[in-house]
Amino acid sequence: MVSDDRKSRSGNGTADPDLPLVRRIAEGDAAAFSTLVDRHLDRVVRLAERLMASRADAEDVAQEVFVRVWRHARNWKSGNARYSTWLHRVAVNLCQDRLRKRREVDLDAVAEMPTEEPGAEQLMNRKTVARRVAEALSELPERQRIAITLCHFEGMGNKEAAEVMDVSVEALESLLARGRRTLKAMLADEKSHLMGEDR
Amino acid sequence: MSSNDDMTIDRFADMLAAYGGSAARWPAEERTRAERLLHRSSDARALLEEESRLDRMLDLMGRPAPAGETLHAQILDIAFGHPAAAYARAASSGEGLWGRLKAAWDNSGMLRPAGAALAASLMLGVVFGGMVGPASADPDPVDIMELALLDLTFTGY
Repeated sequence: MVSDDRKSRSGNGTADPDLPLVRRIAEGDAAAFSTLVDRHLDRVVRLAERLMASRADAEDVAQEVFVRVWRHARNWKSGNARYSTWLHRVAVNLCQDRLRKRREVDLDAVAEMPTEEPGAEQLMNRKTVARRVAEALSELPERQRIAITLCHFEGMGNKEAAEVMDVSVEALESLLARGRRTLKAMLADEKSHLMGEDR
Repeated sequence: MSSNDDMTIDRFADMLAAYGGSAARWPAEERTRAERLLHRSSDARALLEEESRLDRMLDLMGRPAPAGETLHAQILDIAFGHPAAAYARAASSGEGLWGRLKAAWDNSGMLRPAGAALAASLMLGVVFGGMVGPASADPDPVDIMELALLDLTFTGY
């Protein structure tokens, strides 16, 4: 149940802006559900797409996440974490389930992500590097990739990312460092490519 | 002149290795100490430049497109299409028993039988669990298993 006011405050002491909505959803309030979906859908889809390198799979995961929200709002129990943290944890878990089922990642889908690109020659260069980066990311061990996605791409703070992954901050930092070290080794050639462009 | 509060170059390197070269991604409590180190250490600045190259490569990945209204609508359709959910919404709107049963029936995807009595009895079966509370969205047995696997609560924090 989500009725305890003490629990409307998250671990950092600030009020969780989602809890009033969750309470209304638990009472069958469709408008509250729509508002919650509106608030978090983009971020959930973005996270899932980055983790699975597939837009279609990301949208399937997002559907599953939010349908669970609607169906199980009455059963949700608040601890110290924010509701959005739980939402992201569900999304990450669902992505991991799917990734375990399909070991091969569609790299083309990643490479085709829209980027803010300038013109012609640089564009080719950047696309090549972006594709290699996508490949390298997909080759990382799963939890290292999740850690980098949460912290680098989604801009999550270390405490929230650690909560989403259900690890300590120290363990998160270890995953990040190992992931980044591996990426640097894999992307050594592209790095010099990029350095040339920078000058 | 250094103090105990100063960041060592080793600590700086560890933090860079984890969070990269953008201060925005660093834990807030470490940023000021890191900035002080950067002011006085060329080694720290060289490490920062080296690590920032990876950040720039990662940033070339671009940003996935926003979700869009179609997906939003699909999610609402799926969620509200469940008979028990329709029953709960009707209940929260103040519908009587018949209205709730009708809402659930309309969302069940089943053809209407000839006899209203048969419809009512079928719907009682469909939404039996939903009659316990005004917003019954209780999980079915399969969902309960899924919830257990997903570690639904944060009570351990």
